[in-house]
Amino acid sequence: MSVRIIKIGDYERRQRKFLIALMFLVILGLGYFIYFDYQKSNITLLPASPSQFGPQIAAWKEENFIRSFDIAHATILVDEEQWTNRTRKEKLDFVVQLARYCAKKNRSQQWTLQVLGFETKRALAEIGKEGLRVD
Amino acid sequence: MGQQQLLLLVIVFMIGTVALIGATEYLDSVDQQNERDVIVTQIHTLIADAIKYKISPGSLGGGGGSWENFQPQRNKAETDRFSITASGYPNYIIFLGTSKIVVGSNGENFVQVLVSYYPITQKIVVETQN
Repeated sequence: MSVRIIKIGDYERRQRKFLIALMFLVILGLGYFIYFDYQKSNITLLPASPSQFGPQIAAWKEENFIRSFDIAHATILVDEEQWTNRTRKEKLDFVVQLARYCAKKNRSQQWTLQVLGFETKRALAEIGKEGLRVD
Repeated sequence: MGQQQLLLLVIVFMIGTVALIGATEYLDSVDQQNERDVIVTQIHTLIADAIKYKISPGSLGGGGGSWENFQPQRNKAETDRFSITASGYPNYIIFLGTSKIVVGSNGENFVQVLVSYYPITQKIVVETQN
């Protein structure tokens, strides 16, 4: 009878050790993913080639970030609140890449774009002869 | 295996994993910075070309005082490693360099650098996009 109790105790101890090791591994695994997610700068940039911008522009229109986009006049109306929430890198990428997109569509060599707020019609960013400016 | 040995094993494993992740991250960031430096160096060469273009008369294929129609030489701007595009205006010129091989800090897009050159102030502004 006593021998049997010792055997059960050994088994339980092994099981406990295994559980502790497993918990450590699970915590470590979770930490690994959280760490990598934290390391990535969570910014949305447009792809390198203007020919691939279509889906992202459509997604921004669906999110109501882009309210209207006049390619011929290189003018874009955006939601001001969503614009303010974006980082400087995202804003710069938005202005420069979409200016390239307009230049390609208009068969022009110069990148020109004016970003206006939908509500106030205030110029939020622009690239053109006067320079590159982002608010 | 004793409890202490097991604990030691787990601690060693944890330290090893953290060190490995840290080293990988560090190497990634070094790789990204190297790629940015390579692109910026090439853009400096293209800025010199742009200056040459601006001061050359139009009859000799230059800009005649403007770099509005400046286009970088294809063999310098388009390589297997990166792609550089430019747009010239009367008062400044802007270059956008994008890597073709190294993914940038957002983990999705390639490394990207934006460089503007203002000749009046002789200032080169480098903005790391990714």
